[in-house]
Amino acid sequence: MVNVKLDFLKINSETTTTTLIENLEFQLTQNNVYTILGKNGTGKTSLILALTRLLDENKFSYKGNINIFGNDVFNLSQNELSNFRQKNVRYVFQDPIGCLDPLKKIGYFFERFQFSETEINEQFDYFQLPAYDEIKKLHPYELSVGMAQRVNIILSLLAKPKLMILDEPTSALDLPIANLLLERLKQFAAQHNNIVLIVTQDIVFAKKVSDYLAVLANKTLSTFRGVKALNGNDTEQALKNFLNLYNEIVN
Amino acid sequence: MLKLSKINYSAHSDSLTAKKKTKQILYDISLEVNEGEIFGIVGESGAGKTTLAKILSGILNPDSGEIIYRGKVTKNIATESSIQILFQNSIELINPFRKVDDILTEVFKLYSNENIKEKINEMLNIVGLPESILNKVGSNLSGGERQRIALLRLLAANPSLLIIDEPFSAQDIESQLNLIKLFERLNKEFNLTIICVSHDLQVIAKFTDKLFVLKDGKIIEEGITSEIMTSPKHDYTKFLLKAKNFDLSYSDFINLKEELK
Repeated sequence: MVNVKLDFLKINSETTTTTLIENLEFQLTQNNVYTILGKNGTGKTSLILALTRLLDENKFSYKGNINIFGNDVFNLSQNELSNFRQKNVRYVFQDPIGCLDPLKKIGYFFERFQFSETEINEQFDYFQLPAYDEIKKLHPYELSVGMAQRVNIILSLLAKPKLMILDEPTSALDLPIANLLLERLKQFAAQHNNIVLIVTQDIVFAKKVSDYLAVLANKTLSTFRGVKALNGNDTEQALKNFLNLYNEIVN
Repeated sequence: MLKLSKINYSAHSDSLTAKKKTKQILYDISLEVNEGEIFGIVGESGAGKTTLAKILSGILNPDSGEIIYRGKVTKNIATESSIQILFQNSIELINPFRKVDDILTEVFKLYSNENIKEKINEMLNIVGLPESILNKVGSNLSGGERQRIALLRLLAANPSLLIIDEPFSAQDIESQLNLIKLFERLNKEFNLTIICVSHDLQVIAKFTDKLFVLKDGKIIEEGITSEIMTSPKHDYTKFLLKAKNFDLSYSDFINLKEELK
């Protein structure tokens, strides 16, 4: 069963009258981790923001159809839209400090959703952070970027969304911690019937974490390919180029 | 060329509200960099990488220990124009309102008065930027372009040792690869000695001759890069190598903590 479906998505920038994305379509089903790879400036972030209409509608216009868990995203009112997001979707944004209200302490973001202390502590311990009791007294800007990124990931995991979207989740994490994230995201999707959607340029991480991979290039997205099939011969050219580049670095 | 012997360094917090705290960052660091080498220092956040880079370039003075540069014990290494450092935030260090031409000419004039234009053009060619960039202002450059201009500006001083702090963060694979090629070219053509500090073992192992692994302010393994990558000795290095391939699990963290006790 398809849980997330995009058809003919087109995003235009109204300020520069350029097309960011056109003819883009994909389908996601639960229990899987999907990754979209792309270089800087290909529109990765715009795409995932557009998914739940988070792009500024004064600056961007959309066309197409988006259906997430039976909700027709383009036909929801603002109220319905925020309810829908709160119930189903969590984002981990690229700027982990800037996306938290600087006047609130970290504890505020956890208390809002009444997460259980045991679960919070387990996550903090897992992600090698200092105790929650210490961190909760700090303001977002008192954390290092890597710590803030982990705090955001934990906030998303605890909310147990059906769709979790992560924008460059490893950008500020040390490699060992990124390993932990990988393990947890796989569990999150596989064991709890959820969908994880990642956009990144970290291809080693992408290959290990994902069930399906696609590349965003030339304003559109390649089809999602099963990671296991990637070693075969029928890989698409965009994905191939990306992998070649990656192999040049690794070898 | 540059030798550190038993360097210790502690940071002091001078906050008005908090109590004064002292925290030791580096413990007995000794290392030796030879002329023409590319030297890598790898470690996780908080290991003391940037502090060490700042000591190597003379921005911070160690609490104890000796710095020997070209055979002489040096008190103030910061005055050596033959040592230059490319900072982690090099992207922010280009004035957004000034023309690139002015930024570069100003610096090149400090070191020579002749053929400045030709020299700048030659260097632009080496770092892989078009001449047309000279007419742009800082804010119109991409992150990668700004980093290259910052690097070019350092090269005006004709350094023999270049220290680079996390040059690869927030760059896509293609830019990382180009940057590596550039460092290798500078090393070969100008016999430039390079010390590169990074958390990314994957990338740093690709172009360094020697490698230092830093953990909690201590050097836990050092040697020739290819040897460390194939047969690491310390448990922590093995841990990092495993992390590089995304093969770590939570139990590895627990085991490492036990082993390091």
